[in-house]
Amino acid sequence: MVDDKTLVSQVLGGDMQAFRSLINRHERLVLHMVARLIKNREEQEEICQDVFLKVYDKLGEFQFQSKLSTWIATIAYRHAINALRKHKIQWSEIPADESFTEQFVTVEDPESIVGDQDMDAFVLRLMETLPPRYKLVLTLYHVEAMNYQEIGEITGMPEGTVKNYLFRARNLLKEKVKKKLRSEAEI
Amino acid sequence: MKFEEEIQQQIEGGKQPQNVDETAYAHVFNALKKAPAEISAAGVADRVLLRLEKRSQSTRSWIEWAWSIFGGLLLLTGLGATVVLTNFKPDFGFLSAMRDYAGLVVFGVVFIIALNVLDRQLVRKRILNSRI
Repeated sequence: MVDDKTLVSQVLGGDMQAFRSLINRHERLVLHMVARLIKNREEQEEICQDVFLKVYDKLGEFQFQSKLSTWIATIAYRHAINALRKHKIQWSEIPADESFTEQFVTVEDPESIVGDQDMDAFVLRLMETLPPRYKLVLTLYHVEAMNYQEIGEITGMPEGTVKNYLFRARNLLKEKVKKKLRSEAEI
Repeated sequence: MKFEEEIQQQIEGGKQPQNVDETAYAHVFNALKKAPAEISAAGVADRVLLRLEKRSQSTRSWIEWAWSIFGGLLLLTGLGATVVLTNFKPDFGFLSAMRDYAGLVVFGVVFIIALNVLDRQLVRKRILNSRI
């Protein structure tokens, strides 16, 4: 497989098949990030295309100070934030920890408690109700296997904050799953 | 909180769950590895390349327009320069003599147009019908 540096130099030399390979290599990352934050499929596709057009335009400025995937993810992150802003969804807003935890865990949704037989589906559905930053950090860490430093580079958050968000998000999900496990045990 | 962090690290490290908290974390970690279901990756590269091609076509056409305008201006400048440098005086030649036969000129133009219309309406239609 051609390495990123060679691929980038081929694209800069005008090789469109090389750019196709670059897209194929990184589209999963971009799609995962965008899909976690934007629900509308058409909009997801539009944003993904815009991300790669931006990548094409800015590729000449990329100096390999980070991994190519991290750089592309940073562009995807900015596009996703802009899309959220368009929908008037507060990106930077993370609810105060205790009140949000309490609200998240105590809100009763009978269907969510007993409806999902598949625990994975239940957890993923719960994840959708988390603040966008939590969702993104969870996706980059667990699905894309990125480390704290890479996530920090993409989101512009200090590593400590990334670590903290990951911990809090998992903790929220765990509390809800625990509640479901208990209610299932009672039935 | 420290305790919770430790459980998270242990479960992530592969420890078998021993109580309800650990079991719940195991479920969470297992589910989080799954990619979002609602993505459609098909054809992203094709669509991006198509958009790039369209963009480059529109840039090309803009450049072609710019060159055409530049060429036109160059021609006009050349014409102007020629007129000035050669002391050109407009002369309508035989058209000046035709001024006395304006009626004949109008008749000629109308006659040619009418001939073309007739050709289109009657003769070509007949030829086409005879071929069918």
